[in-house]
Amino acid sequence: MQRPGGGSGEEWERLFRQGRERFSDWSSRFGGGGSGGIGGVGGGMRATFLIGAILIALLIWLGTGFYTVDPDEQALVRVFGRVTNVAGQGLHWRPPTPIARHDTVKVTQVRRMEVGFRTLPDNTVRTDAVEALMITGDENIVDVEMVVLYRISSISDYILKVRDPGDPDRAIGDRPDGRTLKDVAEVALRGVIGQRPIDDVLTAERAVIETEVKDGMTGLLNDYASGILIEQVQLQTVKAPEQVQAAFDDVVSAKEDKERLGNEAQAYAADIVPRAEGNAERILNEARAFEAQRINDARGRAAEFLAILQEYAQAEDVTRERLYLEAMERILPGVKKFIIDNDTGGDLLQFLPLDSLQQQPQQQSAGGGPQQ
Amino acid sequence: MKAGILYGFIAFVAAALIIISQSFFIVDATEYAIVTQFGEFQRSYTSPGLKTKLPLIQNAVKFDNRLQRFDIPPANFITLDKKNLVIDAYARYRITDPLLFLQNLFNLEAAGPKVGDIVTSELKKEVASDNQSDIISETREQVMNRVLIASQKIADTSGESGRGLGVEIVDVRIKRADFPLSIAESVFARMNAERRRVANQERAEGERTKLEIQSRADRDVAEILANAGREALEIRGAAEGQSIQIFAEALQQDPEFYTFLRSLEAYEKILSGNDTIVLDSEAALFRFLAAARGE
Repeated sequence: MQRPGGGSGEEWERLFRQGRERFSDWSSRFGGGGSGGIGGVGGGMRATFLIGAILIALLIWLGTGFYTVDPDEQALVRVFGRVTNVAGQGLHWRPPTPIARHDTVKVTQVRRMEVGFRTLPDNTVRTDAVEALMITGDENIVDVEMVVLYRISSISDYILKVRDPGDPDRAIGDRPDGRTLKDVAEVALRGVIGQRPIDDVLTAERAVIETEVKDGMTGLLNDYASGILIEQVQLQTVKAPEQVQAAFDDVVSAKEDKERLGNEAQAYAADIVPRAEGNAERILNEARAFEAQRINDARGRAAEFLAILQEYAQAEDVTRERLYLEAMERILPGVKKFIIDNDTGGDLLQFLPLDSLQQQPQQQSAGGGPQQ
Repeated sequence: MKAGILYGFIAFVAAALIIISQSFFIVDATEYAIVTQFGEFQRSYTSPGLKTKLPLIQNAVKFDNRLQRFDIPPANFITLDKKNLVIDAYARYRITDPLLFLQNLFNLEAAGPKVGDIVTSELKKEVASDNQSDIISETREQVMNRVLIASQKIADTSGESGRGLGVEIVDVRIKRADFPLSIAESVFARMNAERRRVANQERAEGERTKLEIQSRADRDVAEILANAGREALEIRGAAEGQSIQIFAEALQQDPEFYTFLRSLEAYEKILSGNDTIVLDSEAALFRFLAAARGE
């Protein structure tokens, strides 16, 4: 702030002296001539002092109209209560205080509001149970913590339309920013959570919830003409309350168990079915092998027979005789034989004791066969 | 004497400043103003700017024209199905007519609770005619809307001579509709039981799936093997049949010769070293033997 002559004694004295000299010139020209004694000079000095002081005060007053706006700010200027200007960055002047005023607000800054928890100055996080616990559509209780990123989109709406626009945890200047944003956040969040069963809230629908909360907040803030723009809504924590956390965890592990059991069964199936298929193939192959063996054997023997038959047909009797004799040649040398002459008596019995002492009676009847 | 003039001048300037400051007042963009003369309403200003009034005898009263908030403190409400709900709501309102507002509600500090009373009583009525679940979930929006409309109607028609309170209720919102603390424990107990049910169901479904898959696999194995066994028997049977057919076709050429051949083969197999046979000397085999003897 520039204060002409501000504080320095010599400066004051110099100005005072100049003023007195000028005034005495002026008074001697138009006033009571040289008659002005000590008292006259004293009165002139006082008047000079007064006017100078008024002038200086006026300058100081006008000087108070200067103000600066940072690059991230805007200033709303009101002259006699009427909005005249929204000033951007730089040095500006407005009429001084009773006539005009300005309010500077950081408009580009993205601010952050916490719902359901607070980050304390030492960076620890404390849950605010009253804010965080809410009822779901199926009347369960869920613990939701959320961060809202917002920005002031219209400085004039922000200042002029709503009495307490922003986040009460944040001060703007020296006054709290207001309740509106927090109210709106709670209304939107609880409204959205209240529409859904707890399972949807806890699992799949996070992105949808974020979008709906953002839309809900944006709608209300626009209705109120709050000048606040919601940039983003982020769900931080969505979980079951502590009192039921263990039961909820158990459901998660039960789902894992289910998955595991299914996989185990699949593994079992994957183990035994291919083996069975292999075994089946083996059984079939064995059957096919038998088939090949059997048929080829039959073919071979048939061919053998046909070949023999062909030869046999050339000379039936001779061949037949030969075959018979060859067979006998092979058979008879190995066995005990008795040759009985029919003429010498058909009575076999006389030979029997000779046959063999250890012969069983059965053999006798078997031996009787060829006799007939 | 000159000093006297100077003091007089100063006094005059001071008086003039006081008169001027009393004659002008600023209505801000965030304000409405009313000018009264000895307490009697003169005129109201709803647009901002520099305004004049008679000094000393007229007075200017200003009202915030921005959207106001009144927080309705959380309270127990009874729903249609006789359940308790703790409802925390807020109302938003703004001054629309400064004179009516001054007459009925006097200032914002007094107005908030009165607006709150109107909304609370409408909310009580509305909650009492809805079930708990409606308020928690489905029709919360409609509940709030009906409360808003009813409250607006009251605000517009009550007050002196029914001209309204000079405020417009812009919005009524339920922030929270919660179970009272006293039943929170039973809610948690219910949630725990419900989760146990889900967990048991999941595990049982897992077992079911496992049994299904395993028994299916066992069945597949049995079927595969049985099919293979059947097919193998079919193949073997067909092979036997075919071999018989092939053989029979060949034998058909001379069944008698085959019988002869086959008999020889059989003899060879039947008779071994330990057997004893008795042969007739007149058998065909020995016909030459007999002849030799006969000679």
